[in-house]
Amino acid sequence: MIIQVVLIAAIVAIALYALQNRHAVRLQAGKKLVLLLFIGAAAVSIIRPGLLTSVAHEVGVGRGTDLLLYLTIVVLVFIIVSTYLRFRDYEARMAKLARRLAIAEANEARSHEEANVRP
Amino acid sequence: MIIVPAFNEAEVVGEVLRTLIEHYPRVVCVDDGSTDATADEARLAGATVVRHPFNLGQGAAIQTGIEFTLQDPTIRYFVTYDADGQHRVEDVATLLEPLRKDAGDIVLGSRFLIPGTNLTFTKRALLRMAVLFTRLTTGVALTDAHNGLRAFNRRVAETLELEMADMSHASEVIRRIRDRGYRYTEVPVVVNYTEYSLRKGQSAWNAVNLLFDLILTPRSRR
Repeated sequence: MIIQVVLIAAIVAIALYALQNRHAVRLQAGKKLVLLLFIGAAAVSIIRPGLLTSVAHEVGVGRGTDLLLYLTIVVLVFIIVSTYLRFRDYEARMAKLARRLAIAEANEARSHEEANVRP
Repeated sequence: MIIVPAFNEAEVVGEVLRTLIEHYPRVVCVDDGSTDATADEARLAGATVVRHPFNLGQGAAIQTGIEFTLQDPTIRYFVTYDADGQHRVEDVATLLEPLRKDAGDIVLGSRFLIPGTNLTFTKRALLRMAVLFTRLTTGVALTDAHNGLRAFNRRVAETLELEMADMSHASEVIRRIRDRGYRYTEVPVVVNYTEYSLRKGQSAWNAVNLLFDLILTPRSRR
């Protein structure tokens, strides 16, 4: 099948990119393992689509595609929540940074004024 | 020290600050990244100006004012005062009195202790609900939960650490009262709802946001 070739090529490309990327050095080992697991599962389900359906039946879901949809939603919500939390953290840091800057500038302006007042 | 957070208030901030400075010469105006001439107007009026590089929200502006003021160890009392002209300068003295007598760590202005505030029915009802909700969730009994006029001593200034950047800082102050065990008291103040302050102020819809903030934020982080 052409679609299988395309999908597997895409997964391999993503995996290589994620693992070779310089940022990957900072990725925790746990996250790397999860990534490898995900890639393995994706590859198997692409090569043997019937397998996904039997797993779906096993857990009480009608079709493999449905199972995939449910898992996708769970992952999506997880990503949304973790991104939200990260953003909030960044906002708090940004506020602190901006505050430091604002106070430093005000102090500098004040010391300039004082210097100008004195002869 | 009077702390006046201001965001795009160029129309009125000069007048408000001038009136304040006549009575209390030490005023710091925190310009919260305004895009108009707020900072220039404040400087002209004679206030010290601390300027956020971009808009962060009123809670963040108050925290900046507090941290700037804390640098001066001679300052004993801190007052927050809205820039839109809704407060009366006379009320600052009322606010400071309990602090001077050490009858409290933080003094909050309340519109409901005396009659005479020209509130609309919806606004009054909403503020009443806010008060009730605050009492139920925090156990802090106040008559007015969201008044911009407050005064506190150095102990509070050093430990308040406002983190919610936006308008929900009023609820955050109340949570801090509960968490840090500040002695609090309320004094009657008059809020002038001018046409300008109504236009600039929070719409009643924002109560929904405040409610969610109050419910969704963790109860106590320390």
